[in-house]
Amino acid sequence: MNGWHGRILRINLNQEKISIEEIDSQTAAAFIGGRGWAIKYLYDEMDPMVNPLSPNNMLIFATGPLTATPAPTGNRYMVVTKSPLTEALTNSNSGGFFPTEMKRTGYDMFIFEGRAERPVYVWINENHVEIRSADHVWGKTVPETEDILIAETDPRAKVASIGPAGENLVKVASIMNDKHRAAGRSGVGAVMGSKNLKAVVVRGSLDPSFAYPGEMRDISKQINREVGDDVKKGSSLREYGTAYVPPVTNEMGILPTLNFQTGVFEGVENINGHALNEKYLIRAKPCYRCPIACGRETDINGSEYEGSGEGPEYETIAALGSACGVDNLAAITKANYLCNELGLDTISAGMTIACAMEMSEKGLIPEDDIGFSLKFGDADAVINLVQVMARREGFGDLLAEGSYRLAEKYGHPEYAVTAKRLEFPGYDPRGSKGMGLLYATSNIGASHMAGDLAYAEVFGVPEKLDPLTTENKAALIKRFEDAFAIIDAAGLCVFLSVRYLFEPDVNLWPRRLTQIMNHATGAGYDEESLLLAGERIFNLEKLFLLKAGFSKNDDTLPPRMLNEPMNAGPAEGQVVELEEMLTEFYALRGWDENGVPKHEKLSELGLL
Amino acid sequence: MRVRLRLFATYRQYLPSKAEASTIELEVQEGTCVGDLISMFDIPQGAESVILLNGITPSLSDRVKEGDIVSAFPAMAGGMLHSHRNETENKEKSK
Repeated sequence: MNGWHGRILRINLNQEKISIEEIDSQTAAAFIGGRGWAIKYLYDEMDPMVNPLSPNNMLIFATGPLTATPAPTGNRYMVVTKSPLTEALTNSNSGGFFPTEMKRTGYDMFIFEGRAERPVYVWINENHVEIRSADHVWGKTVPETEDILIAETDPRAKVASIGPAGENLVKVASIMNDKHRAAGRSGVGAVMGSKNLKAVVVRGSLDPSFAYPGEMRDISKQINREVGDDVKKGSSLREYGTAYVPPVTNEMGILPTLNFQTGVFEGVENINGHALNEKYLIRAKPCYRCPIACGRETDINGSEYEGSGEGPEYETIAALGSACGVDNLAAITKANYLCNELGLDTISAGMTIACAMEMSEKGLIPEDDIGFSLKFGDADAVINLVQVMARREGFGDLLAEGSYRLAEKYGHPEYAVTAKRLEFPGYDPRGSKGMGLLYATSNIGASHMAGDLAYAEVFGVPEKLDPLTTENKAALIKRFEDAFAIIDAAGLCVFLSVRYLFEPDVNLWPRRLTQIMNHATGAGYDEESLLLAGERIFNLEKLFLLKAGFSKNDDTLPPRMLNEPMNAGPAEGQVVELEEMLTEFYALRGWDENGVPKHEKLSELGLL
Repeated sequence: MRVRLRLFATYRQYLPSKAEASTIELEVQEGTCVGDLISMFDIPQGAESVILLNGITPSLSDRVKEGDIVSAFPAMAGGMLHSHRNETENKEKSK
C-alpha cells in the first residue's frame, strides 16, 4: 500500500497477546484512516453499550495516510474509544512528534484491548513489540514518565502517556504526548488508566511510500512555500499562538465568562497573546513539519508563580481564565502547566471549576463540601482545584467526574454547560449560531474540532459569515463536519488544512486535499468521493451513538443556551434557535425527524 | 465626536507608535464612515481583514456614531489566504 502501511498492531493486555493484522485496500480507502478506520473497527468489533472503563472497551491510536509524510502538518493521530465522560464514542486529536514516530513503526493503528494485571507500558520499535512493567513510573507526572521511559528505551523514542489523572480514572483526563501535546477531550486518559496502561513508547524509521512520489513532493513544497510566504507577511498564529483570540471573541461577545453567564470579560486585556509575548513567551514551537508554529514555550518564573512549559493557547485561557473570572495570566499559565503534568484536559477541567464556582456562589454547593468559600476570580483556587481534581482528593473527587455529574449531584444539572456531557469550548453559541448546531450534533459532544464553523463566523476564513443568523448554518455545519472528518482521518491539522487544502470559499471544496490524498495513496479519489468518505465516517459514528443508547434528546444544548438570552455585548438578547436548525440539519443529512439515518442514505454510503 | 479604534493580533502594527493598549480614541467629523477610519490607518480592506462595528460586521459605508468602537484583525492568521486565493483567481482568469 501507499500512504498507508496497511498494517494494524493489536495488543491484548489481559493475555499479553500481540498480533499484526492487515487491512484491505478497499476498506482503507473507504474510511480514509485515523478517525475513520478507528470507528470502523470500534463499530464492527465492540458492543456500543460497553462500560467505558471496563476491559471490554477498545482504545485505538490511529494515524492517517498523510501522517509522517511531507504533507504540511501531516503530524496528527487520533485516540478513539468510548468515553467515560460522555458514554458516547470519542475521537481526540493530537500533534507534536509522537504521531509521526508512531507511523514510522510500520503500523497505521494500534488497538489496545483488555486490562493489564499490573501497570505496564508498551514499547514498540518496529517489529520489536514488548509489554513492560510500569510499576516504577505509576504515580509519576507526564514529564517524569517521558524522561524515565526514553532513558530506558531509546533517546529518539517518543512517548504518549497518562499522568496521575488518568491513573485515578478522572473523567476529564487526557493522554499527553511530547510532554505538552494533548489528546485532551472526553476522558481518553481514564480509559488508558483503566487498562493499567501508563504509556506507549514508539521508535521507527519506516516511512510510508507514495503512489506518486514526485507529485507528492511538489505539492507539499508548493503549499509549504505559500504558507511560508504568508507567515513572512505576518501571521497572528505564529506571532501570538491562538492566545491572540480572547480579545476577538470578547469583542464579539462570545468569550465564555463566569461559566457562560456572559460573553464579555472585563479583564480581557490581561489575558491575550500580546501580554503573553511581553511577559512569558520564550519561543514559538512547531509540531512536526508545521510551517506555522502556533505552540508556545513559556516561563513564568519571576511572576508570583513558578514554572516553565508550554501554553497557554486560546481554549485554555478561556476555560481556566475568563470562564472562571480569572484575569491573572501567570495563574492561568501555571494551571495549564499543572494540567499538562497531571494529564488533564484544560478545557473540561477549567469549565468544571467554572461550574463549581457558579454553584458555590449561588449557594447550591455547601462550603463545607468544598472546604473553602469558592468564588469567581480566585486564581489560587483554580490552581488548587486542578491538583485535587487530578488526584481525586476531597472535593476534587467530585470535580473529577466533570461538570455534568457534579451539577447533577447537587440537583442542578442545568448549570453544567455541556453537550452530551462534554464541556463547551471557547465560543458561546448564542453569538455564534452555527457553533450551537455543531455542539448539539457533533458525535462526541461539544467539540469545536468536529467542524469548526468559528473559522467563518468569527475569524473570516474562508469568508466572514454573520454569526447571529441561523440561515444556511445547517448546510454549512454538515459540510464542515464531513470535511473535518476527512482532515482527522487523513492525519492533518485543521489549522493549515482549512486554509490551504480547500477552495477558498465557505463550502470547503477539497480540491488540493484530494490531489494530495491521491499522490500519497493512489486511491483515485475525486472531490465528491472524498467528501462522501467524510460523510461515511460521520454517519458510522452516528450509528455507533444510536446503538449506545443516544437519541434526538441528546442532540441538544443546556437550557442557558436555549432559554437565557445573552445579557451583554453584541450578542445581547440572543439565544440559540436550535430546533429550527436541527430539523433542517437532519433533512440535509438524509436522516429522519428523530435523527436516525435513513435506509437510502446508508445505502448511498455503503453502510448497510 | 469621539469614537474608538481597536486593533487585534498583528494589526496592532497599524496603531500609532505611542499607543500603549490595543485601543485608541479618535476625534472624527460627523458623517465619517467605517471605511474612512480603516483607510486612515492603512488597514487592508479586502477579505484578509475582519472589521467590526461594535462587535458586528458592518458595511464599510456605515457611518459611525459618538461612542462607537470600530475594531479589526487579520482573517485567522494574517493574510494567509492571499496566495491560495490569488492562485485560484489567476486560474479562473486564464480559463
